[in-house]
Amino acid sequence: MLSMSEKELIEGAKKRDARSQRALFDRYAPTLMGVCLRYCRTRAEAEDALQESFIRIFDKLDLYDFRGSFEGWMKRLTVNVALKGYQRKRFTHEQSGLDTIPERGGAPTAYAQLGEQELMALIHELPEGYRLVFNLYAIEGYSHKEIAETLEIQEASSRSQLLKARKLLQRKIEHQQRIAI
Amino acid sequence: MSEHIDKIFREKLAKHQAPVPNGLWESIAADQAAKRRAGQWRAATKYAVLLVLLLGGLTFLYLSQSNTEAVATAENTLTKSVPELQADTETNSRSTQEITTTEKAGLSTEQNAVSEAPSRVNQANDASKARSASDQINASVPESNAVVQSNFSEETTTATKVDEQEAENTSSRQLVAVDPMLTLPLPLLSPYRAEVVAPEMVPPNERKTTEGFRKQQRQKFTFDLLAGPAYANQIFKLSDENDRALLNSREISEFPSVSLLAGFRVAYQLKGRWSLRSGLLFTQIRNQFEFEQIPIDPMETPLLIRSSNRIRLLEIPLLATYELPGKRFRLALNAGPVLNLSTVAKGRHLMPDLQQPINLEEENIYRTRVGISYQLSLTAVYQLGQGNSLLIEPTFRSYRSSFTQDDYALSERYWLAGIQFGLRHRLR
Repeated sequence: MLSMSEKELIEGAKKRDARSQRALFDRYAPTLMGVCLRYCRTRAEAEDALQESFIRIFDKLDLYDFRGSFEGWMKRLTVNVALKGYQRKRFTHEQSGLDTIPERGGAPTAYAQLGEQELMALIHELPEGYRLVFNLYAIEGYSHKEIAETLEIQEASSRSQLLKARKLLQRKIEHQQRIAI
Repeated sequence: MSEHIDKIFREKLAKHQAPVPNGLWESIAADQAAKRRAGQWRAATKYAVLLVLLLGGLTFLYLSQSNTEAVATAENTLTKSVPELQADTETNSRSTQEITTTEKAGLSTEQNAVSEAPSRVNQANDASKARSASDQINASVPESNAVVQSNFSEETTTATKVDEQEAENTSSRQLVAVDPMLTLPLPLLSPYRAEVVAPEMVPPNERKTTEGFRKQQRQKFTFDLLAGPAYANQIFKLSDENDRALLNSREISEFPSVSLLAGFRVAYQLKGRWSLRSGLLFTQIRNQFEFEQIPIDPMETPLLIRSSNRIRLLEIPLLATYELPGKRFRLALNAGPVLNLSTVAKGRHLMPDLQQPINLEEENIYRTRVGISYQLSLTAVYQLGQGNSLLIEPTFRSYRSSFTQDDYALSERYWLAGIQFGLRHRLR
């Protein structure tokens, strides 16, 4: 089964073959879980987003025409699912007025030797809007126009939130460096 | 600096992987299994509709063909009667000629009598003779006229009688032949009237043959031998929500495979188009079992365990059949209960808590008898001759009760849709 190529797996999954679907899940679920964790506030939300993402991936697999990276296509779909969850919850939070900024700090480490877990922790410390814009722009490579369309905000807001996110991250990293020294 | 931050995050987090929680795949697989079943149901419905349309089309073609044959028979009857009508016309014209000849002969006799009169006058010497001759002449003219007229009227009467008889015969033939003409524009109304022959018009020797054919008795018993593939739809039902893991594990590890229907039937012809059908049926429901066993050592390749689950059923059908009219090609609708005699299940299934599949033979979860199911089928019969026919029978069967024991967490029911092919033999 592991000898099956990615194309064979995709073809099989398009025909709703359970083994091919399982193989795709095993191959890409950890990467997509990483994506979901960057966009969701909690692990439980990320797990829900990952489940919904795979259901949508299998449902929409016929639309994938083998042009471009399959992983990139899946990531984009996963980001959209995670953002839909965010958009649904944003209304609730606005209504309830909850403060979603996490209080927890990252582990002290050298600036150049920041590990994945530390960087993830730093991202999670950002306010929700900053985090989403930073994730989309810096890691996913979206343009401000695309971010504005995806999050239904102004392009100027996207730019200003990115700047603020960078400043905040820089300050946090420097703060961690000072503690480490 | 800001772009440097972006780069650090992009490089380290773009390929970042996180552990996936256990049980997440099972939830996704259960959703996919449900969608797969829905897809199969849609496909089965699509094929059923196509089959019904195909059979409907065939029935329509068959009925149209029957009507065309009936119309052709009517046309033959008419074509045959045309020479007879021409012969009648010739007879009539011949009798008319005879009449004309007779008339002419009568008139010439009259003319002769008239022409003979002056000679008689000449022959008479005296006035009385002349008067008497004149009286004779006067008398002979009407006499000759009367003779001519009576001869003419007799001939005419005879001719008229012949005509009337011929006309009767012709009109009676025409009634038989013309009657279908009225139905020609509307062949569906009564195409068979064209074949009805008035008994008095059938020659006695032919009549005997017809009566002899009618008295021939048909055998009331027919034998069917059928077999074919089928799709068996597995339906699980959960009695307790706590057992959902078992439902999920079975739904994601079992897939429908090609099932088999086979049987031997005897039919007894009742009055009219009805008959009763019974016999012995063998049904094998097949499901593909697939399970990927994850080894303890993550470096080892997962082991794919695959087997075919089989549920074998021995059953007795009790079907009522209504046969639609036809000649070589006929359609019949069968419906009725099917009594289950024995059920045996072999294969494997997955328990959610175990990493290995268990054998169905070891676990006493299936019933040995599953009660009554209901069958509906449509038989297309094509007669080959000598009492043999070819059969194609789309069949639908629904099992109302569960195949599993009452104390098992899941109820498992099935419906089958298949197509059987076979032979029918009628005793001669």
